[in-house]
Amino acid sequence: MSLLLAAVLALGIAASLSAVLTRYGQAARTTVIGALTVAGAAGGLLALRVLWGQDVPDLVRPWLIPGAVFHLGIDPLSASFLLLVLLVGCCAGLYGEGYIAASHGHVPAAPARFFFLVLVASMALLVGARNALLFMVAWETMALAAFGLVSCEHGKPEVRKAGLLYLLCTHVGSLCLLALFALLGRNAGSLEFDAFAAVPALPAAQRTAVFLLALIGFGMKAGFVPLHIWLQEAHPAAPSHASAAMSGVMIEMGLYGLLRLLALLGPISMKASMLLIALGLTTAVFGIMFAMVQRDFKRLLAYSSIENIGIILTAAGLGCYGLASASPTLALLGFSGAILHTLNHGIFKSLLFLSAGVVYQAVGSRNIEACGGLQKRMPWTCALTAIGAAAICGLPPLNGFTGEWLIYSWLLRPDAGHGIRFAALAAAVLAIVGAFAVVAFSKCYGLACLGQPRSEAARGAKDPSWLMLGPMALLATLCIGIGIFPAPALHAAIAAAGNVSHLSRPAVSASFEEWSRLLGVVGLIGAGVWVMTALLWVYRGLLLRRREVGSGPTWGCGFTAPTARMQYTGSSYAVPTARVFTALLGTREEVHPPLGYWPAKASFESRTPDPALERWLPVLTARFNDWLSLPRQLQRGRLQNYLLYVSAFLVTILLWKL
Amino acid sequence: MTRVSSYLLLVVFAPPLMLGIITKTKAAVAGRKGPPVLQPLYDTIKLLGKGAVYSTTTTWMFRLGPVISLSAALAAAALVPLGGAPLVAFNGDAILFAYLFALGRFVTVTAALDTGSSFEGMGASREVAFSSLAEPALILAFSSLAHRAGALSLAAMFAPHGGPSAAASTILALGSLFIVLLAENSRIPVDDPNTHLELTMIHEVMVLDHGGPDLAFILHGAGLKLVLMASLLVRLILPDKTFLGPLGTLAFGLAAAAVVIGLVESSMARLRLVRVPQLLVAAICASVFGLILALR
Repeated sequence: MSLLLAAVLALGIAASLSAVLTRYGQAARTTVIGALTVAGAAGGLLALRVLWGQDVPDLVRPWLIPGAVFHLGIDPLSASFLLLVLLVGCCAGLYGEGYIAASHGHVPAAPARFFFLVLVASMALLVGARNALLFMVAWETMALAAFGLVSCEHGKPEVRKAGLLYLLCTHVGSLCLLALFALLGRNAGSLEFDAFAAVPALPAAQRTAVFLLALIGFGMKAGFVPLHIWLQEAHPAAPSHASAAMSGVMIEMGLYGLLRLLALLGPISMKASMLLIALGLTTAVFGIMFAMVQRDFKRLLAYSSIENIGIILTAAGLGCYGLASASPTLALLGFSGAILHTLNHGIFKSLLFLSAGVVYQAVGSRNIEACGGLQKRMPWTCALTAIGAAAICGLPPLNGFTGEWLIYSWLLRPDAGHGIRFAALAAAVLAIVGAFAVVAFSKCYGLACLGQPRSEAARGAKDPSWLMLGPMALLATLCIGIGIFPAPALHAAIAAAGNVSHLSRPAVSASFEEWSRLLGVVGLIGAGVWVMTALLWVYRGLLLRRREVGSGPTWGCGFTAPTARMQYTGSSYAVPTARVFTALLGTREEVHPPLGYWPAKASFESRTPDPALERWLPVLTARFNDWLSLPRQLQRGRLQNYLLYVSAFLVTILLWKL
Repeated sequence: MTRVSSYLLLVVFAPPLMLGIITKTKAAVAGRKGPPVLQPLYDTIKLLGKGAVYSTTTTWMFRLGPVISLSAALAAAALVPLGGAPLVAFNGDAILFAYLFALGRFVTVTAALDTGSSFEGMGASREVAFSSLAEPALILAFSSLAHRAGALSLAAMFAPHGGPSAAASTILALGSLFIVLLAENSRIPVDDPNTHLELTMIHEVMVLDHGGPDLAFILHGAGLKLVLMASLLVRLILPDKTFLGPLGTLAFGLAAAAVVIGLVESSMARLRLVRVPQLLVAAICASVFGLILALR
C-alpha cells in the first residue's frame, strides 16, 4: 500500500516542483519524466501484484478533518483502474513533454505540467480511497485539475466557454455525490466505505434516491446522454496529452464510481439494470452518430468517447442484470466485458488523441478538411493512427474486438434461461454502433492521413520527436498485443469483475479458465490473420519482383488536371450514412445553389449542433433563468462582498450553535 | 487431414468457379454463349503474372489493403463448415466471422481513400453507408439462428434441423441473409459488378486503381466472401448427408446458389441508390420477425 502512497506523493511533489522549475525548462522536464517513471513503476507493480492474487493490507491513518479517516485500500477492481490510470498517465505525460516543447510556447508549460500531474495523482488516489471524504477530496482535485487543463489556452474565447461549461457540469455532479455520501453516511453512521457495506440495506425510497444520485453524479463525469454536454466542448479545448488522459481515463472514473458503489451496496433491481442498459445503448448510438458527422477531429474523438462509455455502461448494465437475476456467470461476464472494454478504450482512445495532437501541431488546424496526404509526410504517426482507428472500430486482430466479443457473447447467449428475451435486439444496436464506428474512423484516418494534402501546412508536415512517438508506439503495441494474447487483460478484467459480483476466488478463476480458452481462440485467429497477411505480402513481393512496377497519377476518369480540392471531403463522406438517419441528427443545411445560365456565386454549409446542448438545455433552463434573477443580485463579482457573505454565514452558524 | 484439404480446395477453386457459373447463367438467360466457366480463374492467374502501376498519391495502405482483406476472408473461411466440420469452431465464432468481414471492409475502404480520387471516395462512402444497415441484419439473423440451435457457433447454427415449428423463423433468417449476401458481395440489385460507369458503382469503383497481383487478391477475396456466405445458406437448406457426400453436397449447393444469384441478376435491374437502404431495412425487419418467432 505504501507503493500507492509513494506513487501519489511522487506525482504530487513533482507537480509543485515542475511549477517552480518552469523557468529552467530542462529541469522541469526531467522532474516530470522522473516522477512519472517512479509512479508508474511503483503503482504498476502494486496493481499487478493485487491482480495476480496477492492481498495487500489497507493503510489507515487518522486525518485532521472531522469524520474523515485517511483510509487507502486496494482490491482487484481498484487495481485494474489504477493500472489504466498509470499506463495512460505515463504515456500521455511523456508525450506531453514532447508536445509542450514542440508547441513553441502555444501551450503554457507551467499549468500544463502542474495540472496534468495533479490529475494523474488524484485519479490514482481516487481508486484507492476507502473513505467517502477522501474519495470526494480526490474527486474534486481531479475535477479541478481537469478544469485547469481545459482552460490552459484561455486566451481563446471558445476555450474559456468550454472550461466554464465543464466546471458547471462537474460541480452539479459533485453536489449529487455529496448528497449521495451524506445519505449513505447517515444510514451507516460513518463515512468509511466498509461501513456502507456492513449496514443493512436502505429503505426502498432511499435506495431509489441513491441510485439516481449516483447515476447523475457519476454519469455527469462519464458523459451519459444527455449529461454529456460538456464533454465534446471540453476535450477538444485541452492540450492533446490532457485530452488523452481525460478521455482515456478520467471519464472512466465515473464508471469506477458506479462499480465501486455496486460492490459496496449490492445488486440493484431488474428494472434499474434495464434502465442502465437502455441508457448505455442510447449513449452509444448518440455518441457515434454525432462522431460520424464532425469535421473537427478532436471533437470526433470526444463524441466517440461518449459512444464507448455507452458500450461500457451497456455491459455494466448487463452485469447488474446478472446480479439481479441471481446468475453469477452472467454478472461476471457483463462486468468483465465492461472492464475489459474500459481498459481497451483507455489504450486506443489515448493513442488516437495523442496522434490528433501531432496532426494538430503539424497542420495548425483541427479540421479534417485541412489535412490529407499526411501518411506520405509523417509515416510513423499515421501508421500508429491506422492501428488505433482499426482498434476503436472493434476489428478482430486488435484489442477493441476482445471486449466487444465478451459483450456480444452475453447478448447472444442462446442457452441461458435469462429473462431478457430481446437481448438480441441490443446486439443489433451494437452492430449498428460498430458499423457507424467504421464510418467515423475510416473518415477520420482515411481523409486526414490519406489522399492528397488539402492545405499548404499539410504539405510540409513532419513526424514529431521520439519522445512523442515512443508512448504512441507503446500504446499501439498494446492494441496489437492484447488482440493476439487477450489472456492477461482478461485476467485483470475478470478479477475486477469478481469484486463487483461478490464471487469467491475459485469461482472467478474457473470462469477465467473458460473465457480465456474461448478468447484465446479469438486471439489465435487474430494471429492467423497477421501471419497470413505477412505470407501474402511476401508472395506479392515475389510476384512483383520480376515484373515492371510503374507509377502515375490517380485515374481521373479522363480528366487531366485533377486538384486536391476535387477529393471527397469529410462531410461528403458521411452524407450517405447520415442521410438515412437525418431525422435523428437534425443536420441543418444552408444551400445557395448556382442559379441562371452564368452562375456566379454558390455556397453550401451544413452544421450538426449537439441537440442536448443547443436544443434541449435552453428549453429546460429558460424558465429557471427567470427564477434565478433574484438571487443573482447577490453576485456582484466583488471580493469584499464575498468575504462579507462568508463571515455572515460563519457568524450565523456560531449563533445557531450557541 | 481431409478437413484441411477440403478447406484448401474450396478456398482456392470455389470462388472463381462460382463467379463463372453466375456469369454463365446470366449469359444463358440473355441467349448468349458467354465466357467459359473457368474464365475468372484464368483472369486471376493472368493478373498474378502481371506488373502493377501505382498512383503517386498512394502509400503502403493502398498496397496492404488487398492483402489484409484476402487474409481476413481466409481466416473467416476457417470458421465456416466447408464440407464437414470447420477448421476452428467455438462458441462465439459467428461474431468473429461477422467482424472479420468488417475488417476486410475497413481496409478496402481506406485503401480506396488512399488514392485521393473522388470516385473512390464516393464508392467508399457508399460502401460504409450500406454496410451500416447490412451489419445489424446479419447479427439479428445470426441471433435467431443461434437461439434455435442453442449455440453461438456457425457449425451448429447453420444446420438443417428444428422441424416445422422452427421453419418460419429459419425462412425469414434465410431471406434476410440472402439480401445481406447480395448487398455485401455487390450484386444486383444493390450494385452492378459489370457496370462501367464510375458514378454508379460501389465496390468496383473502390478498386479502380488496383491492378496486377493486388487486383487478383481483391477479386479472389470478394469471390471467397461470396462462397462463404453462400455455403452457410446452403447448409441451412440442404440436408447434411446426401448421396453426394458432404463435399459433393456443398459443391452442388454452391453451384445452385450461383444459378439463383445469376437468375436474380438477370431478372431485375439495379436499384436506385436511395432505394438500397430501404431494401436493407426490409432485411432487418425480416430478421426481427424471424427473431420474434424464434423467441416465441
